[in-house]
Formats: sequence, structure tokens, C-alpha cells
Amino acid sequence: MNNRTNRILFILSLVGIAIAVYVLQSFLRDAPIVCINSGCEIVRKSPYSYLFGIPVPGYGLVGYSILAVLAFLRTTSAKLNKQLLPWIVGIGTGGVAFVAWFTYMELFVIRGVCTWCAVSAVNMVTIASLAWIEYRKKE
Amino acid sequence: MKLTGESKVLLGILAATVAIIGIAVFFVSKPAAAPTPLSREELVAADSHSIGNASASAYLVEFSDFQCPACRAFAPAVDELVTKYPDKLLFVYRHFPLAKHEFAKPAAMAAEAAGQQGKFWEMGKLLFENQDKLSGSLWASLADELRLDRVKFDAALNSQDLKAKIDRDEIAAIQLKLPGTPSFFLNGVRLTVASPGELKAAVENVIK
Repeated sequence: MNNRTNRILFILSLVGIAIAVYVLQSFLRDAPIVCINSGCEIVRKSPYSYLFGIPVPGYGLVGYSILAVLAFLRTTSAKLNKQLLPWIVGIGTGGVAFVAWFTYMELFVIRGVCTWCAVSAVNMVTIASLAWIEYRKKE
Repeated sequence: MKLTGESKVLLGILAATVAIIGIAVFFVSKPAAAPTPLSREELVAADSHSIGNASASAYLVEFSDFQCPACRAFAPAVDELVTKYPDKLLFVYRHFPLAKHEFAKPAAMAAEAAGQQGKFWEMGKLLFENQDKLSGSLWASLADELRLDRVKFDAALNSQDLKAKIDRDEIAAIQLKLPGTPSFFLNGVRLTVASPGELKAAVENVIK
């Protein structure tokens, strides 16, 4: 069992949850997001930051939560440790596709980059990469 | 579900994360919990211009700038409150001429100069009405419009005492760390009102 990689996956998922909760509460309470540039407010007020009526950080919260639960469940038995890794790889890859789409929207449609979204995008890419690397090793 | 040693490590990490975020949120949100009202002495100078009932339980202090468009936008709401509640409210005007406004200080001087002849509020109203054409040559024509004694008025425009009074208000505003104008204090508590309607609602809420 690769404890170290799984621990990092778990911690990064918690980081993702924290960012998503913070940004989501700003969306729901219509409160300004503390940000190092003006991008967060541009993004928050854009209609493109809602997908099917749900704020984009809501999807992030769900994705990161599932990843954290999976990383935790992997520690409970050797069998789950092996079985759940492909799921983490799959969800992480889906997450990367999602952040890639949203980063594209930020750059070319909304024309404002939210720092928290950028941090979250890097976080998701790191999670997916780590999961892929571990998966390839196991094969 | 069987918890292995590694499961417990992850639960520990989760607990530590929740605790750190919880403590951070607690400290960040704490100052907003209970704003301490400032005393009347801290907010109102003895020679500040005021209108209404001095012994009313509700008092509203405005830090304002005659060249500030938002102050002009709030002025009718203040007028309405002052007219509607002459017995229940005391309104106090204090100067906060912003450095970015070229004519803010001279306009405040003009208002104070008119105030020496009992026409502070009338001059204030005219200054807001003429906000788009404030200039050094405007004060005299406004003084004439109010039928002020021009000799006294012109002398007062250069009065060091009046300048000191405006500077003292400005220093008070800076010490209070006011973010800009207009800044309102209702019974010593700074209001965060975004529109004249919100100001009226806040004041009426306290009066009624």
C-alpha cells in the first residue's frame, strides 16, 4: 500500500474542499470573495460561472469530497486500496477536464481569472497526476 | 468497516484541518460580531453644525464632502429625515474633504463662511446643486444668491479659524479610518448603507 501518495491525495482533496466551500458560500451569500486580483468578482458575477443553474464551485465541492472519501476508504483494507485507485484516477481525470473547460471559459469568455479557481485547477491536476503515476506503477 | 492505522492517520489529518479552519474562521469573523458604539463626544465637536433636537435619543453624524457625488445623492434622504423627525433626531454634519477633490476644501470653507451668517445648510444645499460647476469663482455668486454680507463672507473664506475647524474634522475622519464619503454614524455606530433608501430605513428603524 502506497501510504504516502494516498495521504497526499487525501490532503489535496481537503484543500480542494476548503477552497470550494469558501468560494461556494460567497456565491450563495452573494458576498465578495477575498482575492489577490479583481478576477474572483468578475468570475463570480458571470452567468458562465453557473452550470445547469448550479455554481461551478458546487461541482468542485462534490468532486473533491468524493476523492477524499475514496482516499479514506482505500486505507480500510488492502482490497479497497487496490479497487478504488482506478476510481480516483477516473474522477481526477474528469476533474482535470472540468477545470480545463472552466479555465478556458475564464480566459476567453469571462475574461477574468479567479485566483482560487486557478489554485483549485492546479490542485486537481496534481491529484490526477499523482493518481495516474501510482496507477501506472501498480500495473 | 475496519480502521487501520493509516485510516486513523487520515482521520487525524481531517480533524486537524477542520480545527485549523474552524479557529481561522472564528478569529476572522470575531471583530464583526459586536461593534462598540463611539461616544457622542468622539463624534461630535462642540462647534459642529447640527440640526434637529439636541436632546433627541437618536443622532446621525455624517462625514461628507461637497464635491462627492455620492454625498449629493444621499443629501435628499438626509433632508427628508431631518424634516420628518425634527424632535426625534439630531443630525450633525462634519467635513471630510477628500484630497482627490480639488474644490472640496474651498467648498467646505464657503459653507462655513456662510455658516457664520447662519446660512450653513442653505449654502450646503446650493453647493450640492452646483456640484458640477464648482470653482473658485462660484462662491461669491452663491453668497449673493443667499444675500450674505459679501465683505464678511469674503473675509471668512480666508479665515484660519474656519480652516482649522475643517482640518480638525478631516483629522477626526482619518483617525476613525473612514473609507470615504459619505460615512454615517447612527447613535455612534457606523452604518454600512449602500443607498439613500437604506439610510432612511436604518434611521427610521432606530427612531420607531
